[in-house]
Amino acid sequence: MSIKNKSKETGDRLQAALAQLRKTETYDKETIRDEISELIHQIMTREGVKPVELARSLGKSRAYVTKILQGNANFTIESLVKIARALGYNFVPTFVPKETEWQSADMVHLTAKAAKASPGTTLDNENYVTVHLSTEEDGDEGNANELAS
Amino acid sequence: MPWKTYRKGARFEICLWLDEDDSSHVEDFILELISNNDPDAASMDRLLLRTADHGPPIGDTTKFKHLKGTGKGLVEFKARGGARIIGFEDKENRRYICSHGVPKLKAKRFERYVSRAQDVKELYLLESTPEEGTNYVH
Repeated sequence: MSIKNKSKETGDRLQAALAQLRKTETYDKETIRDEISELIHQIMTREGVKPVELARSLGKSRAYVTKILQGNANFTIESLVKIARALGYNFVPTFVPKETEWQSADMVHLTAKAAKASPGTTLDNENYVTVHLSTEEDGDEGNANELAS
Repeated sequence: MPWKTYRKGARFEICLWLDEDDSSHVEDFILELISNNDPDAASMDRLLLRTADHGPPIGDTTKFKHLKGTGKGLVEFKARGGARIIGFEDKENRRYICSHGVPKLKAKRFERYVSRAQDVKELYLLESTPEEGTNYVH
């Protein structure tokens, strides 16, 4: 077998393995766990909340917040609601049909902080805040510009 | 030296570096994670797809960071369980070249991978200089 064919075979194997992996329940669980931690990190950055401050609000240790941000905490409905409230947000679960290409990593809808300012307000779709997890400016940060030279 | 595309997204192209025998260290690494039913396979795949489509999670150093010291100029993608992929960014072509998959291990052994990744980056720079016109993708 030529080297090229061997490489193509490995590539095909990877594609097949990835396609299979992406259909599994484990994949959904792992990716959602990562997305939640990423979202919490994004909100903390946006609101200027430091890990130690979140830990204090939650009445937990700094190590617990680190676990949250790594996605290693055991997220429960209770913990998610507590985290959301500590950050001044509401946790809004969403179910989407399986066929839908869910882009939660792109944008996640959160109930607006305005709800805190006027309690009892019923939120309709216009009151939702769209959080972009990654902006154009974000991507241009970093120090890996050496290749252009 | 060639590379192959893992995912071409709206923001970046994620590429896997191919060695002289046309094998890819990162490809083998991901295949091994999958075959071991390691949850990091899903975590890493999601991170790479997310980077391709929306850019890397800048600022979230638990998942993505620019290495310092001997790893200067390299980037690291880190899955939840500790598996890492190191590579570098070709900012001009909006491309991340992933050169090595690194299992969870001690800092001393990680340095070896960093050193090899730096070698790959040098090769890439030689190969992708515009005047040579060899900026090809498999």
